[in-house]
Amino acid sequence: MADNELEFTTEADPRVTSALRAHHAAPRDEAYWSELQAGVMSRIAASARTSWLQIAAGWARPGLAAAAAVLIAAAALFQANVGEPEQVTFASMTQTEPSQPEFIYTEHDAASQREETLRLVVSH
Amino acid sequence: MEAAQRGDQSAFAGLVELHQRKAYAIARAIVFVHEDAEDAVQEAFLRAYQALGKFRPEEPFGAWLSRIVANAALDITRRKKIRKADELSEFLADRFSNPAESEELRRRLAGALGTLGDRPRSVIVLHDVEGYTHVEIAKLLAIPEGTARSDLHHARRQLRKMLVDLKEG
Repeated sequence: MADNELEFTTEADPRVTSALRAHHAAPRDEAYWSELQAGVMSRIAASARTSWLQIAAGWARPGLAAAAAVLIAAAALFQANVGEPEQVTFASMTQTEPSQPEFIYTEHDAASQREETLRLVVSH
Repeated sequence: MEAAQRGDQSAFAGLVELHQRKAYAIARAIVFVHEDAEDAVQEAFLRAYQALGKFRPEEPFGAWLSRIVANAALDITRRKKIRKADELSEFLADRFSNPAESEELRRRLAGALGTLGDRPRSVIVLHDVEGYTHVEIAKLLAIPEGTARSDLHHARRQLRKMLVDLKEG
């Protein structure tokens, strides 16, 4: 480091430094700094909005996928519910019902038959 | 500071108001053109706002911000490397605004500045105009301290050499 300090000892030229300082002087107008501050804050606000949009966009795809899945599931359920009566109807048309007795013998019927036979015999 | 870290934008606006002049000076030393310095300042404050969560309160905010400003300015410089020395000299000559300086000095200085590399130019401005030490410049520009000393030496020598006739006149 000592060598460097000895080697790099070129002094600044006051006229050059003065010209450089003049060129690099910051704006003195207070309005400029207010505008710069407003510009910075505006850029920050815009960035924050963009961030939210990006977050929303990030959720949009999974959200759409979830909504599509729900729709598909709902459609499948709906289809299942609608199809059930149709199947019953179709089954009722194609399948034979369990055979019901067309005539059931009862005591009442037997008595009637006897009365009928007796009436026939008496009439002859 | 704590309010700003909690996302309070009005608190951060106070920090901007407090530090924007110093930020501008650093950026201007590195990019050398007013409009680019302004862009660098805005970009730096945006980066600082987004990185507030990483800021450690025990560290001075100004020093932390200065590094961010320097990085933003260096990024702009890297993007604009295509600018040729002649174009830069002409541009700089047009932008001198101090009527007290002689036209000849302005013209010659602008030409000389255009021939300096970006880093030596930044070093001489940061040191001779803004008053930063070699250690501070080394930190800002992420270069060894010896490089900062060397750059300053060569920049001064080159400017002096190019303006020697003017000095003698």
